[in-house]
Amino acid sequence: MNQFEGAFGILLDHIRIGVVVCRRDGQILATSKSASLILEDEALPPLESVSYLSEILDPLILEDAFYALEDRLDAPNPRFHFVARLSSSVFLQIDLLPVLENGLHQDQIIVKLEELVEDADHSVPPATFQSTIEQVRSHLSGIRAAIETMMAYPEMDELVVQQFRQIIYDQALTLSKQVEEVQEEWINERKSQMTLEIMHIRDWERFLQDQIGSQPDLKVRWASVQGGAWLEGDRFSWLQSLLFLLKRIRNSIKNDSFNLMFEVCGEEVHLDVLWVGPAIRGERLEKWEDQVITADEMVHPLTLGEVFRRHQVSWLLNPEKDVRLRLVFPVYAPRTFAD
Amino acid sequence: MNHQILIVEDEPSIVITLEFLLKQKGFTPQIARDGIEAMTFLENHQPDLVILDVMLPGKNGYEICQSIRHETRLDRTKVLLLTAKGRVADVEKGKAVGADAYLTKPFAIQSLMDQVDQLLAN
Repeated sequence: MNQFEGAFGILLDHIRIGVVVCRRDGQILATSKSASLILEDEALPPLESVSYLSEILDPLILEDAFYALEDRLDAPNPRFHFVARLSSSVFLQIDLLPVLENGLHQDQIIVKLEELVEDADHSVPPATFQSTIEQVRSHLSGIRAAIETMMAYPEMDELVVQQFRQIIYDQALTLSKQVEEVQEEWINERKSQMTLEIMHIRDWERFLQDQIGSQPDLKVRWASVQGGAWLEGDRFSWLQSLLFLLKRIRNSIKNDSFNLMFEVCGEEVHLDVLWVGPAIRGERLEKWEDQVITADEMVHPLTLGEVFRRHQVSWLLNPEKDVRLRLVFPVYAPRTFAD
Repeated sequence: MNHQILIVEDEPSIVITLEFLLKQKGFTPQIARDGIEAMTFLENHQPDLVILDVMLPGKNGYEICQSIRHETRLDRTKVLLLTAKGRVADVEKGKAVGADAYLTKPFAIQSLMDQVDQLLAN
């Protein structure tokens, strides 16, 4: 047994993935060196100095995640994975794997940690980008050479002038088509990269709070979320959609102050948007649903309605006193949160 | 002028402009619209200058330039590479395959004609 523990320790020192082995109550039994690096954050104590994982990760989220794992223990190869916010700019992909012996849970959980890299999934792949630049250069070259030649030889024959005009027209037309193609390609590329992540509602709230709080042209107050639940969505789309929606409403009601509140209601999560001022008509919201999302100087590849449908979100106008707009999300795995 | 010039370019708009400019200078350029056509021409001729696009159907400009440099019969032929590839690595590649000059698209026609004059003077 001692030999096995020694080997296990060496393994944890050398593997490149972040691993924490803990008990069901979060007490840490072993960690890999990579886990310390991944969990390194100015606002948090070093992993080596803490006894419980809940001193680093949100204890309520951790508890809900362990419940979710327990719910899956009967499944073949049980596991539960989710995304957690470590700080305003760092998100982790976390995999929970139970230690089983003869099919029985041994009160030990392996927590696999991986940092999510943000910038890569918003960029156009270099190969596509390079090829586009080359094609644009080529068409511009045709236009530039034709214009410069016409300027250099102002007395050229009318037939030749016609020929050069045609070149400029054709090349400009090809460039326009190319711009459309590039945009289409970018949209498809982005769509394929927008993966849905399972994240706890507390982290959803904190994420949106961080990002929307930095908007100079919106004044948003959040009421703390009541209850626990998991939501499945892509952060980029959600942030852009909410910003788009709040800014459209602001322009419509001439008021930039909002109160936002998440609430768990059975198998639904409500995001209530409250403001002082006139109500929004349903026709107007339907019109916004057809628009491509533009917010925060970003253009999103989807319309607001497409983001809603992708996340199975519905909306209600003025469902209760003071609540002007309610977005209704389905809870991911409704029975897997702590009471 | 007795200089023979071959333009290897698949983009018609560039071909028309280059042909016009070279004719204004008194040359009668030959045109090849892809790599294979260029190689066929080079098997039977020894042009003084090849204005060579890099991205071509059939055989690319780098390959054609290498073939010219491996052929002793074409020792006196100068190669001016035209390309939309503007990175330093691409220019280095052009030099490595033996090009005498390299112009990145979109180029100024004055730069192009200066290069033509300079290469033919050498």
